[in-house]
Amino acid sequence: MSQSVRVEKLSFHYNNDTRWILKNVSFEICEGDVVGIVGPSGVGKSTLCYCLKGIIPDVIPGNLVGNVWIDNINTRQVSAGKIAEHIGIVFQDPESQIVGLTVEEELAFGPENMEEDPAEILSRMPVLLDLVGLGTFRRQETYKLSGGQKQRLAIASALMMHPKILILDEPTSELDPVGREEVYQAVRNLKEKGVTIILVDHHIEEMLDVVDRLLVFEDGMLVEDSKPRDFFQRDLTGKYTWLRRPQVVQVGSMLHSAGVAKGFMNPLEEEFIEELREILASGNAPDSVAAGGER
Amino acid sequence: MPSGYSLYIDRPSFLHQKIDPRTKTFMLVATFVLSLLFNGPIPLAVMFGLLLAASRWGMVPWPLVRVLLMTGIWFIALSVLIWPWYVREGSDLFRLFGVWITSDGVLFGIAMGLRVTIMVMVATLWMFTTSPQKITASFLKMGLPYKAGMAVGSSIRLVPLIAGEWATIVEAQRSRGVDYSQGGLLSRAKKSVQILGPMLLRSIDIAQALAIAMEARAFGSRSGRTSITEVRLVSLDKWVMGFGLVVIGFGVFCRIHGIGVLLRNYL
Amino acid sequence: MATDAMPHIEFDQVSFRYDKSTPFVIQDIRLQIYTGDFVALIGQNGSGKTTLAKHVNGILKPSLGQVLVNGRASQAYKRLEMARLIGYCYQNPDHQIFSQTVEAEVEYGPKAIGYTPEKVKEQSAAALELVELTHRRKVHPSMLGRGERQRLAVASILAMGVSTLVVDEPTTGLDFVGVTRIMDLLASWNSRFNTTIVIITHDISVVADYIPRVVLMAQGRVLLDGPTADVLQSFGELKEAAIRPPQVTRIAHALNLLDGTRSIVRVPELVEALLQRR
Repeated sequence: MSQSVRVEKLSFHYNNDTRWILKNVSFEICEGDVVGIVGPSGVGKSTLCYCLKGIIPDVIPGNLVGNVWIDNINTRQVSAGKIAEHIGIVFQDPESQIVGLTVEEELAFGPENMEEDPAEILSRMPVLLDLVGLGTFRRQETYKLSGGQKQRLAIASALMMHPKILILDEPTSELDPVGREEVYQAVRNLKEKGVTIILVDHHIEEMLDVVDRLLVFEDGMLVEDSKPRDFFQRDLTGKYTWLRRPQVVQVGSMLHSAGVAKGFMNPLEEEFIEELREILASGNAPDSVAAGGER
Repeated sequence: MPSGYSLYIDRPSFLHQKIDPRTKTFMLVATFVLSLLFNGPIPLAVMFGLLLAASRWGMVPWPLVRVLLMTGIWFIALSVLIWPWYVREGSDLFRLFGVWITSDGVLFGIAMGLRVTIMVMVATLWMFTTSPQKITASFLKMGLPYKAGMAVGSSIRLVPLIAGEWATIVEAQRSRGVDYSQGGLLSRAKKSVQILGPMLLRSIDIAQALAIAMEARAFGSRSGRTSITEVRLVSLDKWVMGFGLVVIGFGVFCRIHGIGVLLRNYL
Repeated sequence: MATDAMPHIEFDQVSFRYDKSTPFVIQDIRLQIYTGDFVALIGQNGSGKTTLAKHVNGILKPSLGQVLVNGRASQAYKRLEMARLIGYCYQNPDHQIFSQTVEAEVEYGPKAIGYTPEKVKEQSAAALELVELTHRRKVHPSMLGRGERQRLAVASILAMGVSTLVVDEPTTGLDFVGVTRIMDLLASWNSRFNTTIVIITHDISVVADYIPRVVLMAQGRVLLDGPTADVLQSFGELKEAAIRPPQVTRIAHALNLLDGTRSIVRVPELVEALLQRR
């Protein structure tokens, strides 16, 4: 499969701060991949997003070492506006990224800037609004939307520029649980459509069943690149203390140390419940009793 | 608290839907010119009445009209308090602090108050019935730089965001025991630091976030821009603008012949 | 909750709307909070929890009914009087931080209240110590990370010597280290000094792990008010309020472990139930 993103030995610090935010980061993302990015607060996740989007170094200056290719274009060689057609981004704050007064105006903003034909712009709207579950909102005024609706509108607006890649930089951190679920539903729909997605989020629980890969950052460095299931199916004691373990993972590891579960259990809720059912059903089998001991 | 992103509210009114933003902008300018051509209270009062009717026609909500009327009364009152001290023409009415107040002074005061009110009203009516998007689109059509139009639009967009921030900051500081309704001028000025400080930082944050979000969607990356908002001059617009021109012509004629003009040597 | 004592804060059929032309944001709220209570307000955005919380320290005044603070209507308090009694931490620390150093920021409140210079120093130092920012006291607040700024905001309220604290979403945007730190701090503050704490939050596992009492809100009304375990296992009401129960509770429900004899809202509780079931 063809490469969408290639980051090669990327290091970066801002002009006003000599501390390196990103240190020698290299990775590749294939077309259609959904990649989760996690790390402690202030580790440079947003900075990485800016680098991928070409906002760094074009709009926000600083010292950039290494290279970033988006759709085989080196971000150093073109303006952020030019890269905008290849990679879209949704930011954290729903309020400060909406420009239009109506949903329609908001959707059109990007393609208008790219001098696209108005009729063509309008014809793309219904499909994208359906994709993010806002099919009936086309004529709505944006200030009337809830936080979750605004974020989904931001996703659709980014997609209006038909980018191959979409970055979601903590898209749900300002939302309530309903809003979060709405956004994740939209993300799952996009995944089905084969959009390459880079997703930054604190809530790894919700991310687990969506992402294909997990990139873990610590201290500006990429320290791990793994499958989300593999990530939790091992001993994480003392590692990644900034990461809140999903409750199933905590339960699984306690059952494991109690000798009840033989291996590390599946971190996805549904499959976890199935495994628990099996454990409970085989509760009286001699070997597992021996392993768990009499209680 | 419910609040829109700008003064503009989409309504199914004739003024909103049927008239091109360029025509509306033209009529805005025409009204300004007309209100400057006349300085007698009667023609200005007639214009004021027509504008009130236009506000109803443009479905401006009553609370907003009421605010405009109250502001108008305030303007007129202020103007009547000021002008009689300068205007010497007309018959003397009474003597105040050694100065004779004249009939023309009072009438001119009323007229000037009306004139300012008319300007405020027509500008409000224009903003209320024309979306920033359409203003931007009409800038494009007229060959004016679209970024300027967008700057108007997005700064209008920032107003309610900033207002929300302001309210939150005031609340946060009030929770810390700061009483903004008490204390002398100096102590109030000191207190305002705690609002202006966070306010400044938050405004910069918000403006920067909005700028990056716009940049991320290729704003300003090309010399031109298209627009899904259609602005089309139809024959109705031409009639309206033609009417506007005729009225201005009539206004100039009146000015030259002193009709509707109370004091010739005043604007 | 001791029901015989006078409530510290009492909502007596409180309704509120911003003005007469708009609908009520909260309606007919009856609620008693006693000294030393540690309460979570949960509900979707727009359920009225922030509006309710802003009534606790009189930032908003009821349109109908009244809020009694120590038996006296909230309207009857002067701003300073109220500020000495009840602190309110806003969600975004940047809405309140304005000083040039961390220390100055913390000292501002106690100074404004009119404490003696010694007391200002003493209380500020104690508050900074508690939020573990003493070593950063000479630093400009903008140099702090998000979690540190959050703690600074809490410290500047604590330094005012308040006996009650309202905290709006203290864990938003923090990683697990940050979440644990701020919640440990609030919990220990509550148990050591009997400080009354009301927290607005969306974080259901924080509620389960730290907070003993929950007020569940939906559409401007209180749906449920009770011990955390009871509220978080009330599937019907939670559904009505569009709140998902904690993951362990959902799993326990799926495995029919919730038989009414035990509550399962935390991780160890599920583990224990599973071990017993085998």
